[in-house]
Amino acid sequence: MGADTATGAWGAEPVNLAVILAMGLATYATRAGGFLMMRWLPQGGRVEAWLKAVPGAVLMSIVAPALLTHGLPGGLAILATLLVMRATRQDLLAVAAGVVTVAVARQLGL
Amino acid sequence: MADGGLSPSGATTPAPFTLRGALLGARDALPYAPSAFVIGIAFGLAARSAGLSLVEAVLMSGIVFAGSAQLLVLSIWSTPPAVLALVFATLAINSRFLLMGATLRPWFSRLPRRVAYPLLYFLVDAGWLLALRAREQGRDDAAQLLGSGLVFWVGWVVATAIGWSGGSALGDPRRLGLDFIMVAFFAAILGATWKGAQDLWSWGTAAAVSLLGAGLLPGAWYVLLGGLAGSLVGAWRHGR
Repeated sequence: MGADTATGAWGAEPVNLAVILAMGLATYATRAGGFLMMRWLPQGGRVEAWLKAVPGAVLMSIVAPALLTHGLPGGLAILATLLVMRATRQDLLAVAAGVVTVAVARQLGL
Repeated sequence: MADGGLSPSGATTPAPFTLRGALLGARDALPYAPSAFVIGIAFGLAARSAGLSLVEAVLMSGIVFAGSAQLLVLSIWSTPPAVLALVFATLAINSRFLLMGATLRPWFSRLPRRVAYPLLYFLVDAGWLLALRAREQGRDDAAQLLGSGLVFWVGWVVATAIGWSGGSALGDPRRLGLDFIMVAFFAAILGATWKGAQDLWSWGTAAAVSLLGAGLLPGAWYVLLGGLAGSLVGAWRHGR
């Protein structure tokens, strides 16, 4: 077995394990917490209108800052993605267009 | 227009949870698995250089199962680890799951709790979007989130091990643009979600608040803040 080739591959520090467990608990709390909290909100009406507005707003809040980190290639790629999506309504095609655009733009050093 | 399959009586009908639903969810997720794989390799590499063992890196991927949080935490990892700072950073970046979980309430509340709560462990960005979209088209089976989640989980954990063991030999995945799959997917769904000028207020608010939050605030609360502000504006505009 490779225990000697990769030093420290199979070890585990108790403190690191504790951090990993705490991170896991925190993450699960966010995954289950929103669902749980909705128990105490009434369904329908304003709440339903709010829930319907959540996906678009969350996506926008991921994509807009990502545009900054990915620079010009990212901007061009998102443009390509949106154009293909409007034209074909096929999300896989649109994603492929975006990924190819970003790869080409990076190759060109943009 | 599909309203997510919520009929007035829908709240009392149990939601289906079948093997077939899980398989459909897995099939939907497969095209996006390469993205989880590429990020997983990057995480494995980064975990090794941060001083984590293979066992620790794989355990973190299997237990935490949240790419952006794990990568962020590595960037502030120290020996010994600053437990509170790491957990707080995790909460900040994963706080977006609160909003995603909230949108699943009308649907998963029709499952027994002993199914709904374990199922929420498999909530990830892409699986959530895929499930919401499929449900709009009439697929009410809640097990699709399990199917997509398992595909991402297996890809993520295996890629972590590969990245730790020899990811540097694979070259730079950015060259192929594979790190961009998720952003492109989110943008494509945004394009499909656009319903016209009524979305301008909500989306504009989300963009402005998230950009400001990303630029000005420490931590990664900006997705939660932008999503919350944008959706509240959307609900407010809806009532006018």
